[in-house]
Amino acid sequence: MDLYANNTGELLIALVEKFPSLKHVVDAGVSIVIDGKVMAYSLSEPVHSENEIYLLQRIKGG
Amino acid sequence: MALDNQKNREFKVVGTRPDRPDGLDKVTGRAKFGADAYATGMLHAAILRSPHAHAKILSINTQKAEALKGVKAVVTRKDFSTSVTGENWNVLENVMAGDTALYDGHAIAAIAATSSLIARDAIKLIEITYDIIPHVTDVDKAMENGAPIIRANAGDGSVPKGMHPNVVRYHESGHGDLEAGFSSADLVIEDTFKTEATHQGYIEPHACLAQLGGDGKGELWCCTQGHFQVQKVCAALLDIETSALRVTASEIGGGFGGKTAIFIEPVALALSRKTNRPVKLVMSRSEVFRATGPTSSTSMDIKIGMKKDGTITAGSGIFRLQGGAFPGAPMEFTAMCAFAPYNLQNVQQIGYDVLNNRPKQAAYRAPGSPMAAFAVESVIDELCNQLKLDPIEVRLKNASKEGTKASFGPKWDKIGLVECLESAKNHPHYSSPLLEGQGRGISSGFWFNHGGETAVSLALSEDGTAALSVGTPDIGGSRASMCQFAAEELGIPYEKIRTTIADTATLGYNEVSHGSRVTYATGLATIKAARDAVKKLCARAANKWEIDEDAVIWEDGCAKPSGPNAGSFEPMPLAEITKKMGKTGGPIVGHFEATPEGAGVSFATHIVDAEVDQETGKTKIIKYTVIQDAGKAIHPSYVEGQYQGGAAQGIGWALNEEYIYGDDGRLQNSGFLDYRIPVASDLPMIDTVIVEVPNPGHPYGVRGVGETSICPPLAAIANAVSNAAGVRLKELPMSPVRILEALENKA
Repeated sequence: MDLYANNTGELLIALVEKFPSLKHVVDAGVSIVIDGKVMAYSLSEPVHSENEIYLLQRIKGG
Repeated sequence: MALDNQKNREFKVVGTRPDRPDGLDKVTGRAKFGADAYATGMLHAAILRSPHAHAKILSINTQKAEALKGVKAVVTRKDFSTSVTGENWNVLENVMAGDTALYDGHAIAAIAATSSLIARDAIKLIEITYDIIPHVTDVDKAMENGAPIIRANAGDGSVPKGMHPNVVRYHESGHGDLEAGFSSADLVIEDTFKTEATHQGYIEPHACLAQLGGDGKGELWCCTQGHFQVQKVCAALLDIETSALRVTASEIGGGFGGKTAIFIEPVALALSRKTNRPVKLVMSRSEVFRATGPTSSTSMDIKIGMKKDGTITAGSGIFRLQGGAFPGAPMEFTAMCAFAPYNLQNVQQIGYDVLNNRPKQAAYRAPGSPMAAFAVESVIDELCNQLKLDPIEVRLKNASKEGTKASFGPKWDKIGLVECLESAKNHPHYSSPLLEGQGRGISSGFWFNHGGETAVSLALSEDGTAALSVGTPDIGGSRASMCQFAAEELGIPYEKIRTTIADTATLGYNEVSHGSRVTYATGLATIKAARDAVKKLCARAANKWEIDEDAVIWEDGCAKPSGPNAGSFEPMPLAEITKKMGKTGGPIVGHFEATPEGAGVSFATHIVDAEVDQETGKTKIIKYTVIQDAGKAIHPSYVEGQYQGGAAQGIGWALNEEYIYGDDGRLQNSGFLDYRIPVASDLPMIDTVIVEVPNPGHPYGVRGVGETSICPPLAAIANAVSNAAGVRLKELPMSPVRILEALENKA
C-alpha cells in the first residue's frame, strides 16, 4: 500500500485514516518493526520508502 | 543506544560474580516485603469473593456486616470511578465486580476492620443475592454454538464473522504458499495439543498498605513488578491525580509476570479513603490461586511438512487461548513465537483470544511462548523420529539466522540460535548414553524481550561512593547488575555503589519490570547516567587544571589529561573531586531518561533426559541442560539462576501443575497441597551454558534472559517423556494418570 509519512507517528495516523478499523488496534498499542528492529513506543522514528515495516501487537512480557 | 565500538574492551567488573547486595537482608529477615509494612492506627481488610463461576449480582446488603463491632467501612463497585475506559475498565471490572460475578473468586465487596479476624468474620455477614447462570471454563467449549456468553460485544472488531461472541480478538500472520509447501513434503504430521492453566507460584502472596486522605493525597506500599503502573492505574480507578499518590515497591518474593497486574491495591486505597486510616490487605494463598492471574489454557492444531533430508517445507498453527473473563490472552505471542526458530518459506499462524469464566490471565515469564513451543517442537520431534533424523541437525538445517525472514514477517537482526544449537550438539549431555526406559528430548525456544520507559539517577557522595536510584523492582537480581554497570563506568569498586528501588515521587516514569527488560533498559540507562556523571567529573577536573573539558579523559576511576599536550597533572580520583564538589559547582548527579529501543531477542535450546515408570506413570527428570543466548552475561551467577529457574518452572508445568475446575466451575485445587509444584527433591542439578552473541542494541551487548528460559522446557520434557514411554503425549501436564492412559491406549 502507499502511505505518506516521515516518521512512525505519522505512519500510524495515516494507517488509521486509510483503515479506520485499525484504530482500536493502534490505540491498544503496537510495536513497529523497521528493518528488523523492534520499536515498541517511538512515534518519532524516521521512516523511508526503502524500509521494510511491520506492525506487531505491543510487545510485553512477564 | 548501539553496541560500544570497543572490540578489545576488557571488562573489570561486568562478567564477574560479586556478592549479591540483598543477600544479608533476605537471610536475616531485614528485607521488607509487602506484608511487612505497618502504620499506626492501621485497619485490616478482607475481600468477599464470589463462590459461583458465573452469576448476576442482584443485590448486596452490608447492614449486618457494618454493624459488627470493629468494622469501619465497606466498599463495593460504586466506590470506584465510573469514567474509566479501555484496559483500565477491564482492570476495574476484575478488581471489583460490577453487575456480574465472572469467575469463582471474583471480588464482590471488601471490608476494613480493626483486626483481620474481624474483617474475615464480617465479610461472611454480607448478604448477596445471586442469579446463577451457565458457565464455561474450557477454551474449545467456549467457542461452540450455544456456549454461555461471558460478555456481549467484548470483541475488538478483528474477529471473523460468524464466530461465537466469546472470541474477542484474532491474529493471523505468515507468508508463502502453504498448499504448495505441504505438497512438496515427504511426510506431513498434523496433530492437536492442549495445555492447562498454571500459576506462577510466587512464594509471596500479594500484599499492600494503603493510606489515602480526603484531600486526594496518598501513600501506597505494595509488592509489585511495576509501582509506577500501580500509581497510574490506581489514580484512574479512584479519580485522583497521579502525582498525588506516592507508591513504594517493597522487596518482592517472586513475580514472574504475575505481579505485573493489579488486584488489591485499589481496594485498599478505597477503604482507606472511606475510613481516613491506613488499610492493610494481604491475600491468602487460596485467594492468590482463585483471583490473581494464572496463564492461559490452550488448544492448538499444528501441521508441519518435512522432506526426507530434514528440510521443513511448510508449517501452520491454529492457537486458541482463553485468558479468563477478559480480553488479553496472549495468543498473538503464541502465534508469533511458534515457528520463530525456523526459516520457513511457507508458514501461517492464526490465534484466537477466547473468554471463559476464569480469573483474568497474567503473564508467566514469556506469555504464550512455552505453549507454542510445546506444540510445534513436539511435531518436529515426531517428524525426526519417523524420518530417522537427528533432532539437532534438523533444527540447524532449518534455523533462523540474521537476515532470514521471521515466521511473523520481519527479517532477523543478529541472533544466537545457531550458536545455541551448535553448543547443544557438542555438549557431553547430548552424546551421553541413555539407559533402558529413558528418553531424550530437545527443544528450541524464543522470546522477544523488551525495552520500555526508563529513568535512573546516579548521585555521587562526598566520600566517593555512589547511590543509584532505579525505578524497576528487582525481580531477578538486577540491583547487583546495576552496581556492576555503574562500577564499570565510574571505575570505582562494586562495593562502593548502592542501588535502591526509588518510589514514584523520585524518578520519572518507569515501565514495569517485565519482558526481561531490566538488565537491558535499566542497565543501558545506568551506563548513560554514569557517563553523564563522568562528564561532570571531568569538567570539574578540567576547571581545576584550567584546561579544556575535551582535554580530560576518565580512566580507572580518575580524571586524567588526555595526552602530553593537555598538560602534566596527576590523576584525580573520583573521591578527590566529590570531596569538594559542594564548593566547585554543587552536587554531581548523572541521570538518564528514555524509552530505549533495540532490546535483542533471545533463543535457547534445552536437552532433557527423562525416565518413565511404566507401572506408576511417574516421570523422573534424570538430566537437564539449558543453553541460552544472553548477549553479554553481566553477573553470570544470576544468569545461570534464571536459566535454572525457567527450567524448574517448566518441569512443574510439564509434569504436574494444572488448574482443575469442577463441573460447577469452581477451582478445586487452590492450595499448594493439591497444586503440585516441584520441590528440590523433584529436580536434578540443572546444567547451564551461557552463549554470548552480543545484542547490537545495547552498549555491552546485553539481551534479556529471564523469560526465554521457560520457552523450551514444556516441549523438551514432552519429547523426552514421549520417547521414554514410546507414545506421544499431547496434553499437559503429563501427570502419572495421563501417562498411564497413554500407555494403555498404545497397548
